[in-house]
Amino acid sequence: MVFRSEEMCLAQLFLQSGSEYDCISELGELGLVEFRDLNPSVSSFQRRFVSEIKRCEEMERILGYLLREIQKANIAVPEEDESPLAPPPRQVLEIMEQLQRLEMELSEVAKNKEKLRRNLLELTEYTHMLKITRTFIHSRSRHEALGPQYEEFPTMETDSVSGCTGMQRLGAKLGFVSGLIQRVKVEAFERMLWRVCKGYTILSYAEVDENLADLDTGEISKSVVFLISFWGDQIGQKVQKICDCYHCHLYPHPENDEERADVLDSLRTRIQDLNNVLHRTEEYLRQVLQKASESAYTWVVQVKKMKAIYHILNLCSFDVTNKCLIAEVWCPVSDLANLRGALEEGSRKGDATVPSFVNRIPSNDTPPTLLRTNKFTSGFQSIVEAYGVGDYREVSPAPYTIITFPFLFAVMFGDLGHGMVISLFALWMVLTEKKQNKKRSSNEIWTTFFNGRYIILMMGLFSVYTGLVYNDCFSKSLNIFGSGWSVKAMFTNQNKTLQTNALLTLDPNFSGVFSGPYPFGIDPIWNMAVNRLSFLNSYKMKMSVVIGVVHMSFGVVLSVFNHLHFRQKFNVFLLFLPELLFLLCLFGYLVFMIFYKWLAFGARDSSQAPSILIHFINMFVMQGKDITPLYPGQMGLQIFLVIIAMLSVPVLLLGKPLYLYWLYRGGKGLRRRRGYERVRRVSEDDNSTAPSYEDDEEEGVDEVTNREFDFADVLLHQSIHTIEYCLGCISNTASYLRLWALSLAHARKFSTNNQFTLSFLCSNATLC
Amino acid sequence: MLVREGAMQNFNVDHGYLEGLVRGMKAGILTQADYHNLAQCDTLEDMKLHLQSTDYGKLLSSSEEDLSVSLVDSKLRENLVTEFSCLRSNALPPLSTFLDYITYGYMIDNVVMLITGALKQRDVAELLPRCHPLGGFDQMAAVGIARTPTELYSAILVDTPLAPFFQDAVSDSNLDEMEAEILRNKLYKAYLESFHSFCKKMSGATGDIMCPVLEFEADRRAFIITVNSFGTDLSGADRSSLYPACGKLYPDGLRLLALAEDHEQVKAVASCYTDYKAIFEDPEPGSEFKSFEDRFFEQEVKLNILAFLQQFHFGVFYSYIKLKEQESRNIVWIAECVTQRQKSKIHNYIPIIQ
Repeated sequence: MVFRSEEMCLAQLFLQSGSEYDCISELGELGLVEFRDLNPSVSSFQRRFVSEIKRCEEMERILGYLLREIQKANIAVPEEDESPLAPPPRQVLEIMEQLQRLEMELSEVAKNKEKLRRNLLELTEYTHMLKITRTFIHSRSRHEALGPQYEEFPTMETDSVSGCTGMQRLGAKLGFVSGLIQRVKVEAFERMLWRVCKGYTILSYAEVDENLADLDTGEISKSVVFLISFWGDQIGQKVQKICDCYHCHLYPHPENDEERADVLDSLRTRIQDLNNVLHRTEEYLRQVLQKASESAYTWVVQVKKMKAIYHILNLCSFDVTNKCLIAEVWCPVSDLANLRGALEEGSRKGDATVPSFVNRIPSNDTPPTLLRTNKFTSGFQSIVEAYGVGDYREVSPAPYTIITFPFLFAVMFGDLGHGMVISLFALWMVLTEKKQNKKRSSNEIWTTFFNGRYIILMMGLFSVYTGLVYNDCFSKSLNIFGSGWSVKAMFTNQNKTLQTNALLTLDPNFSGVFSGPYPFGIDPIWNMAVNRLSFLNSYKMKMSVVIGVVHMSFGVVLSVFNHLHFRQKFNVFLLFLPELLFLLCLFGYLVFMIFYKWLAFGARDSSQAPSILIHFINMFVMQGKDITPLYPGQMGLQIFLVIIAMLSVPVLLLGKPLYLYWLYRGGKGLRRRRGYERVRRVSEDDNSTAPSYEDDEEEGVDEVTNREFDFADVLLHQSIHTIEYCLGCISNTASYLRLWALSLAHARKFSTNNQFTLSFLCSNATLC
Repeated sequence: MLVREGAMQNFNVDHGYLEGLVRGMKAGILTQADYHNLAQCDTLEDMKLHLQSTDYGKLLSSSEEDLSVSLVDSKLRENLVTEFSCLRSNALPPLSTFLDYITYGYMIDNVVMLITGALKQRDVAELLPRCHPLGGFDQMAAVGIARTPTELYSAILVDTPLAPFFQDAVSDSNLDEMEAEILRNKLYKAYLESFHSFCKKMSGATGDIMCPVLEFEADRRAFIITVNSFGTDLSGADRSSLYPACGKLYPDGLRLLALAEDHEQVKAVASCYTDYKAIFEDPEPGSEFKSFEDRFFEQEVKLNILAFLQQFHFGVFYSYIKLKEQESRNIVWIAECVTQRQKSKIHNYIPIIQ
């Protein structure tokens, strides 16, 4: 982890045409530079490498199709550990060709398979229809067979004897339409049929026992077989249309039973054949997909990289001779050598006659912030970035976060046992990280945990430490060194008091009761004490404020490094000093009082110990003559401190704007003089290439004043900063009390938990 | 008033999710900048590239066929239908009824298209894909069977939600093209009136928002029927039976429109109404010519945008569908111009969000 963000420089890359692709590929693998868009005015589809990008997109489309098919066939795509390099341009066409061939083949096979499947379904439906309509016919013929027995229907017999019914004599003949329809549509179908044909049809239907897949959508649903008998062509046409409209699947109805049996037979053999063919097709499809799946991962990565390279090339501009591409990049100064190496490597790979090269160019733009991280620090860096990314070369707060963040967590979480559990969990994640990394879990919650594994580990370890300090292990105390308290000394021979009283007060003033502090952390005897909570609360509350003030002052002190680095010494006096004074005079003094009270009052005079809170409030209202001072001269010191703190506020508010204004207006004469000096100096060291920055302070001031100066703007910014800082000091101090509150909550919650579980177990035991 | 407030309080319980959804989708409607970029394109491929950066995303790039204007059109339509069916399947009453009402308009168009198609002896299978999928219904393919409106009603459409709109349209005259057009207008009249009264009954802001939109729609139809009837043998009395009676023109304006015999007289009627005056006014010299249909569209877009200014009402759903439709028309127009190299006309689209 570094103190500041990396030093950057603007560089121009001259990429010789022919090798530019390899160069960018090489740079991409290293991840060294950030490219700037040199043609922002050109819209995305008018750029130079649009056709290449389109080709990549086409390949992505095919790959997407391929992957979908592979997934459908339940074939796993093997992933490689190393991500493959971007393919050289001449290999691209090869991949493209391969992909297109695969797509053709696949779609062909898939189409065939679809056709076969459809065919098979149709045949199955047909068989079902035949089987079921036979029952219709038979039930009807049974009726007819019964017919002669009824006296009411003698005419039927005579009609069939005469060879034709009245309708048939008119030339209309009996027609049948049979087929399948979805179960849900039957009612509407029947109604429409009735309405349109005015009852000149007979519809009989029965449900198919099996669930059949739909021909078009493949959805599995219940179907119904129907048979419509009608007279006349007119009605026949209408029936046909209605069947079309309800998406019925119609099949020819056999004339008689023999034909039906024949058709059923032939259907059976055809279904068998189809099943065979379908099986073989599927086998073949699987083989093709299996082969494709082996290189699918490589292709996906390669195409992605290729697309990225062309996107980068689109950011570059062409020079006048069209011989080379010019790219502008931000690059860390320390990596310039690597950059050169990468370009050389790229030119070598691209077989360019002229090597590509780097040219550093001066720039006034603020460079991007680069903070290098490793797997340990990246988690902490991302916590910092959640609040904001620092400016270029600003002091990075991330290194300190590595300690403060887990520590503040542990202050709240302090419990040896729980800390152990957390650290073991984190340790497991850290130890198995290689395996986990490979798995690439898509579970969002898990990845959050996994990415923060080092943070969790640190939090766990710190919790173990604070747990030891609090002497808390699963909300119970550990008595490692033996308690420093003993009640024995108080009751040498008065056994009665010991036996009759449940609660005993240990008086440290009694010699022998308190033999000395516990070597580390809090004495385990407090775990049994009734006033344990009030003791711990007071201790943790004070500790929170102390930690908070130290933490805040540390942050303010860090800002000095920024002021000095950016050569703005006036900021040290006009920002840093008043800020620090304000913080220390008020809250630093509070910390002082806490320590003073701890040191000044012992066990003997503890009853006279004052409340710090009252003293602190009195300090603000400047009263308190009626209470005894902590130490001589307290009133005077307090008034002095309050006045200093109050005075630092206007300095903070007005100091910087007024100083800048003065520089802008009155500093002109001054600057002219310095300008003259500078001219002289430049002429003196003419041979030095870059203008040196050793010119202290005023250089920065010059920069500030050279810009347009807007007094109101600066004042507004400064007043916002002032208000934020002063209110922040007060509210943050209060917020640090949360450390105590959460620590209390954590401890209480688990101790009650323990009680409940224990009492529950006990009651169970007694019941048994 | 109590009822209205109650409707507001409980609106989010049933419809809050969908309203949020539709407002989010509205945020994806193309802006002026997007249109500007689209209008600069030279090929459909460029347009595809541009649409990728909008909410349409990969809509066009996922197809394997070559891009054509009709493919763009069908993809856009598909997109709209997907969005609508997502809304419809999550809707609770009365929002579900409201959404159904939106589809009835498309149903009417489909029925009339099928009838005219059948008259021209076209195959139903060829016609069905051309029907708007929002107005699809089961009995659609059987429409061609009917010979007269009565038969159409009693045999086929009686089961569909369109049945109530047929009350005035039942007649025994043979269906020819003119009759089909009249049928469409009669159905539309009944539909608009029914929708209007449904919205009026709705509590809360739905009525306040939807009524002006539907009144505008009714008046637009009245104007267009009048203008289109010039030169045909449709008499004034026949015409007046086709005017939807729920607009701002009702009743005086409609009476005057029924008497109108040329464009000038229509203009005179329109000039009595501030909303429609501008639409029929002669274009100012120097400004580009716009047909009055385009101006109606512009006005419609304006009205529909207004719906989004208020919360807790159903108007947003209607408006979103209409705006999205207009957007599809715009994109298709631009695509047409791009393919036919008519760069000069490319700016005749109707911007939705400035």
